[in-house]
This record gives sequence, C-alpha cells and structure tokens, in this order.
Amino acid sequence: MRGLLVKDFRLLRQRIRFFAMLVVIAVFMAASGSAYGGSFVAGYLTLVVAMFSLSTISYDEYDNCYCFLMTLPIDRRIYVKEKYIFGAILGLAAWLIGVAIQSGALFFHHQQAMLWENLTEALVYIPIFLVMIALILPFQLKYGVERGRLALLAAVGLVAAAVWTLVKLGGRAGLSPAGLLARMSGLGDGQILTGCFLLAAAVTFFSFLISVRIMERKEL
Amino acid sequence: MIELKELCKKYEHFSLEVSMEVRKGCITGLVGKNGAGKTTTFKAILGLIVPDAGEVRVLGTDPAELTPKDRQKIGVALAESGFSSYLSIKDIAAVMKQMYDDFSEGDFLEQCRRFELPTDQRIQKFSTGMKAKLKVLTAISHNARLLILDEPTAGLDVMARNELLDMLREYMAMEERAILISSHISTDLESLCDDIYLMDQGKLLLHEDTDVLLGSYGILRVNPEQFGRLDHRYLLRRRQEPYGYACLTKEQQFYRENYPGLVLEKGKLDDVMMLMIGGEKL
Repeated sequence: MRGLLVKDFRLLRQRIRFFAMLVVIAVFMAASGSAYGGSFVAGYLTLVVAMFSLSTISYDEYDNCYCFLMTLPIDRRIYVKEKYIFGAILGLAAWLIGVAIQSGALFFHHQQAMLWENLTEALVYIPIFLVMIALILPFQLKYGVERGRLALLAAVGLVAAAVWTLVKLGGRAGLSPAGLLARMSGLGDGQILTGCFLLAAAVTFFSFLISVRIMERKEL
Repeated sequence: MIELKELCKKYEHFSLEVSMEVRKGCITGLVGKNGAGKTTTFKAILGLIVPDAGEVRVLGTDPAELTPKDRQKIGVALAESGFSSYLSIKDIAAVMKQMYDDFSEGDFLEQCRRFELPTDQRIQKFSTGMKAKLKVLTAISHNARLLILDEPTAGLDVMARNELLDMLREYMAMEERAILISSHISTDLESLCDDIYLMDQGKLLLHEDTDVLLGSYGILRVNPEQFGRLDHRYLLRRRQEPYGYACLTKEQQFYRENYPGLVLEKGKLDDVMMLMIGGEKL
C-alpha cells in the first residue's frame, strides 16, 4: 500500500500551486480577524483538501490506469484501503495546518484565551470530512468521477426524501425533530463530539466494506 | 506458468473461448488482428475480468487468488494502460521501490538512461516509442519470473522494435522464466517466440512451434487447373486470388517433392495468418 500512497502523493504534487493558494487564502481569512473567527479556516482547509484527495481517482481513471494498477502487487482491498487512508492523511494534515494558521492569527490578535475553544470547535471538522469521504468514495469507485457525482446527487436526494418521510412518520408517532434537538442540547460538547467521531467511524467502516465489494466486482 | 482450460467469456457482441499454455523457459506469442480477443485473454490471465466458465491458472494459482507476493513474480505491460502519464520516471521508480522487493531503483534509472528516456519529464511528453520502452523496462525491472506483454511493440519504428525485442531476449537469458507476448506485427513474434497461438474472433485457430510454422508451413500459388490436380489432403485453407488460389499447407515438403513445378513459398506468419483467418477451410 505504501507504493500506492507514494503514487498518489506524487500525483498530488502536480497541484502544489493550488494547495499553496489555499493556504494563502486561509492565512488571509485568519488574519482578517473576528469576521472569520471561530474554526472557519480549519474547516475550510480541511473540507476543500479532503475533497481534493478524491481527485487521485480521476488520475487512476484517466489513461485507463486502473487496469495496470491492478496488475501490481496489491489487491483491490488494498487499493480501496489506500484511498481512505490517503483521504484521511490529507484531511488531517489540512486540519492541522488550518488550526495552526488560526492559532497563529489568535496570537497575532492577542486572543490567546480563545485558543482552546477554537481547537475544540475545529475538532468537529474531522468527523465531517471523514463522513464526506466515506459518502463520496463508493460512488466514485462504482460510477467513475463524473457519473459518480451525479449518482451521489441522486443518492442525496433519495436520503433527503427518506428523512422527510421518517420525520413525517415520527410526527404521527409523537416524535418531533425539535424534541430530539432539545434532548441533544442537554448533552455536553464532549459527548456530542464523541458521538460525531463514533458516527464517522461507523459510516467510514460501512463505506469501506461497500467500496471493497464494488472494486472486487468491477471488471476492468 | 500459465494455463487456460476452456476459458469462456461472453460479451454482448463478442465471445472468447480459449485453451492455451505458456511453459517455463518459453516465449509464447499470441497473434491475431485487432479485436481478435488477445487483450481479453490477457485480462482474464491477469484477473482483471471474471471468466464465465473454464479455468485459469497463473503460476499455479487462480488469478483472483494471487497474493501481492505472487504478483511480485509477474511483470506486466499493457497496450492501453500504464502508470499515470502525469508521473515521471523518477516518480515511477519511487513507487516501484515500495511495491517490489527485488526492484533496484539505481538499475532501473540506469536502464532508462541507456534507452535515452528522460527521467525527470512527465510521461505524457514521451513519444509512443519512449512510452513502449518504459512499459517493458518497468515490467522487467523487478526480476519477475513471468512477463505478460500485450502489444509491447505497437506503434514503434523498426529500430525501436528491435531494441525492445533484444531486451526481451536478454531477459530470457536467465532460466525459469517465461514470456507471453501478443502482437499484431507477426514478424516480431517469428524472430522471438518458441511457440505461437493464432487467434481470431475470440477463438484459437492455430497453435504451433515457431520452428514448425516457419519450416513446414508453405503457401502454394496455383491456377485452377493445377489446383484440380493437387492432392488436397494436406491443404488447410485456400483463398481465391487473381491467378487462381493461394493454398496453405502444413506439409510443404510433400508438395515440393511431388509437385516440383508448382510455386511454393515458405510459410511466413503473416501469410499463415491471412490464410487461416481469411481463407476457406478445405
């Protein structure tokens, strides 16, 4: 798997200017002060970079590289695992850079007191980007990058319809979303964050299993 | 090294039915026109597609069950697939170093320089010949026991083709190795292979040792009257020509001795292929 990681990092090097530009924008955002306070910069960097990590699938698709890659000493499970790990490494790296930029800006504005609050707020972006990768990857592996986007949109529509139906049915059974939120507001930040991480881990695990199945059935 | 037993793969407009074998110490060629099924056969051998029926064994194992360790023993060059063209040779070397235990980065880069391949440039800037050379160099760079090469000489000029074929001969200098190679340029295979399979429309038409193919096969060029007088027992195919018929035989010696006046040409793979595919069965 290390070979695949080396390949993807080297492919990503092609976009080094884009990443540098992202960091510059993030620095400007953080330096501009309270208007962009909170954990926005860390969130922005993390989500954009995590999305970008998926572009390595386009490189594998382009020139029909898939066929050749699957003749190398890896199996399809390893290929899938690498995509998740690569996305996680990039997302975490971007998150760390985002937090560092933000913390630097707080020091610059003499607001060190907000450091801890900002850090805990930024933590929520980690499960968010993990879930994002977990949702997108199976679609991209199944349908390819272009068709995968359309399939994902269709799936999001279906999920929204399913949620709407559940809410309606729950309403009839006396369970309202407002009541659920009110109950959640009683939880501490740590509990909510832990819940988010556990949910992200579960979603990622199931997404991985689905992706492996997709790749193992794929004819190249 | 490779064994296909009644391999069958069906698509909507194409069906593949093949049995073949690649033996240790041999270079086996697979020849056929474009769309004959060579690449599909390769894909089945490499486990890239799942056969509908039949059995495929590569190094004694079902391709779907080859472990990464097993795959280290196989070097592959595919006609329409390879490393991303956004990578450079140095990038590929870095990847290969992580993938194969027996890969020597220094030797690989040295070989690339020997074949005048720029190591810092993206592959997308390479010519067709340079890309083909790189694919073969990559396939032979990690001391593989088995090479599977799909159309490695496609698009190359004569010089580049010869260089590449020499590389393969060098590779075979070590024992216990084997190569399966496909090409639609039959002269390449004539000079390289120990045995040759001829394929058309998903089926094998012929399997012969190259020596037999070049030594025993012949083309008789006869007018209709001469054709009528011929002993047809050893004729495999005939094709109508302006002068009469071109007939393919596996027993050129028989016709040379018994019909000394007839025009009889030694069998070349191209002619054999043309007649086996386009000729009428006798």
